[in-house]
Amino acid sequence: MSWNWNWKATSLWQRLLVAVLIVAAASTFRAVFFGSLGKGIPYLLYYPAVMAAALYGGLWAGFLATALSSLLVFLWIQHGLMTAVESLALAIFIISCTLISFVSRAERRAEVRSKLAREITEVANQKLRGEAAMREQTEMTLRETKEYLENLIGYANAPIIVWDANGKITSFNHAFEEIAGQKAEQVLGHGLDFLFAVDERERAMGIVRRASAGERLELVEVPIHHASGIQRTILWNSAPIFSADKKRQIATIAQGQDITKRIQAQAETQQLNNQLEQRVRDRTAELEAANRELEAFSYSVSHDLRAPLRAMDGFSMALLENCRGKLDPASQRNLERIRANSQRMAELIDDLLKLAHLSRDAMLRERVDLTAMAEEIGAELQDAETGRVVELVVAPALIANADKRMMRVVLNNLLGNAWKFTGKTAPARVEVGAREQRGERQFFVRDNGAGFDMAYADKLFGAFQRLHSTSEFDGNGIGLALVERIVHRHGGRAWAEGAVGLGATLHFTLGTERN
Amino acid sequence: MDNDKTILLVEDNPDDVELTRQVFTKFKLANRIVEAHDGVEALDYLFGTGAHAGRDISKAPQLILLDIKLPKINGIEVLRRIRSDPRTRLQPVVILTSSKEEKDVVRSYALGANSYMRKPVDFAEFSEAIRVLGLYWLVFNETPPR
Repeated sequence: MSWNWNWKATSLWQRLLVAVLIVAAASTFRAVFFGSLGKGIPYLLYYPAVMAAALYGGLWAGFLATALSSLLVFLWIQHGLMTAVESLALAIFIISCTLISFVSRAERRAEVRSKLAREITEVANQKLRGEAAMREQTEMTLRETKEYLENLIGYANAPIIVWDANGKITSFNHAFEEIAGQKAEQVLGHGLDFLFAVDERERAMGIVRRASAGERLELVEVPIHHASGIQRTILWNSAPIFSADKKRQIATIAQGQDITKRIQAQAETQQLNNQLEQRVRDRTAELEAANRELEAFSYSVSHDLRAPLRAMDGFSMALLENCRGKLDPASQRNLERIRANSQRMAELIDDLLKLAHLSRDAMLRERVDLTAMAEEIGAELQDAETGRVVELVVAPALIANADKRMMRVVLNNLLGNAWKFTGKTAPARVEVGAREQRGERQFFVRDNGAGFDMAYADKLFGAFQRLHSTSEFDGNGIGLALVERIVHRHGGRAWAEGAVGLGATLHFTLGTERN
Repeated sequence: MDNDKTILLVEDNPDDVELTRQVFTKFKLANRIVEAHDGVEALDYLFGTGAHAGRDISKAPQLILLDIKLPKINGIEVLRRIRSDPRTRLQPVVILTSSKEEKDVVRSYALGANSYMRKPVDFAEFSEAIRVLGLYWLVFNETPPR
């Protein structure tokens, strides 16, 4: 039955009205089309009418239609007169129609029940479908998570292993395959002992047992033995995996960090360091040997080179004294020249020795008052040449952290030069000062003397290099070489600025001024 | 001046010996010079051993002019032995040498040298130095009693 009207939506009164209308319709139909029947087949149209009413309107509509039909048969067709047979027919009609009404109701109830059952089934089915979908979703998520984790473990760069409560491997990733030289399918289900070299096995398995007992390993070094025999050094971290109720440890996961390369690199670095240290020792030894040689050399020079000069000078002078009046003036001059050259060579030797000394003497940095030192040296120079007037301007508070003795050599030479090269300048002016340049203190000694051609500025500091002839300005050309040697030993530098006839400025720095 | 006042010149370089002699000759002191040409000879003279065996060592020199760079035993070692022997402990010794290397100067004074003189190359200066030296140590200086 696929009547789809909503029984509940139709009110009782409507249904009763329909019952009345059906009965009326049946009566009209009989009157119009079956008038010729007279009293014959009185229930011909009322059976279907009651059935229709009962089917449409249920029990009460059926009853009403039955009652109306009975009344009409009795009053209209039979005119109130009934034979026994007719009465029996009426009773059968009434009983039949009542039964029809009840059947209709039962059918209707069954219908409702089946409809309800259908609805319940539907709801249940829907619920089931929903649960199935949800389960599917959960399973998919689980599958995805599992795959994600498996990929994570499988393709992780670090070796990862999982073993169960029985100590059998259940997971063994690619990185571990590489390190152990074993395929996962070969090792799954096996114990861990094959991973370690024989002599390491006992210790390593002890550590595995500790992890299996729930201890969390942190950066524990356990070497892994490669199938080919190569051993790799791995630092391990482990964690227990618990059952869902968290009561049992069902597995252990361990993840390693291959530090073989790092250790190799460390060893190489160590080796390089050792080599470097050895080289430093070698070089130091060489340097010490060179220094000893230099010392021996300069010692020998200072003792032995002067003796022949002394002889040349001494015997020349003896000759001069003994042959006074017997030698012609040219020969006398020649002997004088021999003497002068002997003495000059002695001076050169002394200067060379000074330079050698400066290279090897120990240096002691201390607070040096360059202002006071410059003024002192200026006064000495002034005293030595009383005939000259040189204006000396020294900036106040020129303090340096340097070797005092060496600084005296520097200022002696720079001021001595300034004095010397202003010898033909009037008025002569010498200035000592300092300036800050790029975070560095630069000292300077400036004069307004003969100056020099900047084209030769680099020759200024070479030993025995001279930019003026001895006849112009005397000297051995050692002074600035000494100055440069000293400032270099202090970690500083020296340079000169000047122009011919316009004076010169000699600058120097003293490094970081730390010991 | 007493005639037994001698100077022991310890010098291996014959030119230096000759030049020194010339200066002493000039100042009429040449006959007082006793030469030793190496450290061993100097010590033999002082202690009456070796070539100088039997010498009366109570006749000690008024002054020793001692070079540092000497064959066999160097001047520093000679000085050390002079100072470590009670017989010569107070003997005036002047180091007369070519170098003024700091370590030579320091070691000499540390071992008790009475003076340290560097021989100038300029002969005029040299002879003046020898003159002053001779005058001081032979004339003005009072030697320790023996």
